[in-house]
Amino acid sequence: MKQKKHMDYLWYGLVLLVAIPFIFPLAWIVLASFKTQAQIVTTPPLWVFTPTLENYQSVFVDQQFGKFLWNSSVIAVGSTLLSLIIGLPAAYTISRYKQKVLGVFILLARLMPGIAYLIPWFILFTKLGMVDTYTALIASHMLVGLPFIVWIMVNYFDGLPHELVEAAQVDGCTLQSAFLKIVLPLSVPGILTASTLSFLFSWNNFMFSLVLSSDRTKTLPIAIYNFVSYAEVSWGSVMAAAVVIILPAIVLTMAFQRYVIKGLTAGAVKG
Amino acid sequence: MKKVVCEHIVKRFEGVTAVNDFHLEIADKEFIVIVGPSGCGKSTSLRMIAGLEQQTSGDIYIGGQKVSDKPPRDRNIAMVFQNYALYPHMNVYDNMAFSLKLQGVDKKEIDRRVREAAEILNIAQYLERKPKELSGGQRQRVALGRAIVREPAVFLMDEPLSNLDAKLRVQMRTEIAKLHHRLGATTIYVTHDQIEAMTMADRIVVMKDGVIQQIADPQTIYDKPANRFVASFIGMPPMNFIDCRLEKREAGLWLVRETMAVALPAAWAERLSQRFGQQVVLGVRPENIIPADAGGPLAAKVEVVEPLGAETLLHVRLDGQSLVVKAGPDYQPDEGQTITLSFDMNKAHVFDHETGTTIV
Repeated sequence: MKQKKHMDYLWYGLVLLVAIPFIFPLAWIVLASFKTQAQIVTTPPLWVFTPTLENYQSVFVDQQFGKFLWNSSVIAVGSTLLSLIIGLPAAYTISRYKQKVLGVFILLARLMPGIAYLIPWFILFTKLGMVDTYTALIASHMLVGLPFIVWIMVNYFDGLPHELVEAAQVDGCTLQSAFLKIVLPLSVPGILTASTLSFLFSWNNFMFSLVLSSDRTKTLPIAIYNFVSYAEVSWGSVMAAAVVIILPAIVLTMAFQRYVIKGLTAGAVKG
Repeated sequence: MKKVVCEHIVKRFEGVTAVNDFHLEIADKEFIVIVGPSGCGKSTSLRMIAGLEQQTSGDIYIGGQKVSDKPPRDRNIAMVFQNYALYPHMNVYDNMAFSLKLQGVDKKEIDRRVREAAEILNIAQYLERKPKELSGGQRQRVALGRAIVREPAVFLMDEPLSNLDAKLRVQMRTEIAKLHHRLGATTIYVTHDQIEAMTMADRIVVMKDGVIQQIADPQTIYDKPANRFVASFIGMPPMNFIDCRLEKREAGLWLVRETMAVALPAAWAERLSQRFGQQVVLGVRPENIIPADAGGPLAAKVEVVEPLGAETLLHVRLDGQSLVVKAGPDYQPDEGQTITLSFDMNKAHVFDHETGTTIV
């Protein structure tokens, strides 16, 4: 009994040791976002201080961060929703008709380095006059979101008993309505996983947005990058902006972590 | 009229013929059981009737209407699956009401039918539960309920009892039979269990390797099997088969092995007349071998004795051949003992040695 307790302490100690390097920068960012510039650069770092909301005010009022937040949201939600609309039926078809080769081709698109697409895209979207439009950004972000959703969902659909769809067909469904009424409601955990990951990819994406967006559709990661390029680095504002960008990612992951882990391992183990 | 006609159906999967020339006419209200070993094409045949599998050639008629190219939803059928296939995200009530809602049936009527079916199947108290909160037997009742509320032309059942434990299987078997009497719906039932086939069917269809071997009522299948396969598949323990040579002697017809000789009834002479001197197979059911301590014509050595309470099974060796004998409960010889046997030849069969078809 006593030995077990010792083992527990040892275990928690180890967990803490691993967690600190991950949590420390995050904690530092959050704390710094409530500090003044002078407090941030003080050494040794201040742990107790009077928090200020100045940085957030500067970010949202002076830098119009609300607009970038909106842009990022539109592009992330848009690319995820479109990827779901196209990807879910595609994944079901691949699973049901065992089109594994097709599945591999879709994954191949994901495995190619994203940068390989950038120049053709830039040329294409420039010619079409679509640079700095939501359409161009949503389409480019779908390059990762769509294969991701298809790949996760093929595994998920493979695990659903085929008889359920057959029972629905006998009960009066077409294949399409069986998909909507039976398959989709049963796949919510998988859909949540795939959507979360697709959303986060788009939310965090820097490269595609750097090339394809400009003033009108600038997203959060680009906006933060622009902070740094000014004459003086306002660390407090950068940290406040960083918190704004990290927060949805953390909230989403916490909310759906159960599904995300389950979804990522779907099909790995039978049963 | 809810007749079902399968007209010379063939199903090929990538060059392999799964079902060949499946021809079956099922009368209104008839309970048909399709039985056979795994991979004999019985489930494929049922799935073609359901429309879940497209036949390569041949036609299917339900209630006089050609349904060969129609999707399952337009065939007026209900199906019960082996693994129940209940919708896990719906409660029992919604599972049963699903098809009626799709048909656009009036809400009150849906409620009436669901509750009536639940009453019949004794699941009224579980209507609010999700399938995962039910036992296997209860789930199977819900699956039956889902089929009943449809009031379909034909019930299709694909091994509905094989996921249940032995005791529950016997109970549900009786209940499905009762249900059929009550509803009088045409039913096609697929199973690999010959006892289910014997106890429930009006007529049994025995299949092997995609080909129908025999279609007849259970007693006929048992008493007059069309071939050696049917004879061996139906009946527990299975029929004994003994390779013999047919000989014509002065005293009549005889089946002969090295040390064994059995006289055949004189009435069989005509049907066997072409086969004198040929190898044939004698088939005798375990209950038609009569053991006697002395006086029987055939001496056999007892290898294993299995007392089952109501009867005793004897595994004996007769002239190098293993046989199973069904004896009365009181007859329990010692293992290793030599006993004598006689065959009830009026209930024996003779099969062709090569093709296995029944000669007598």
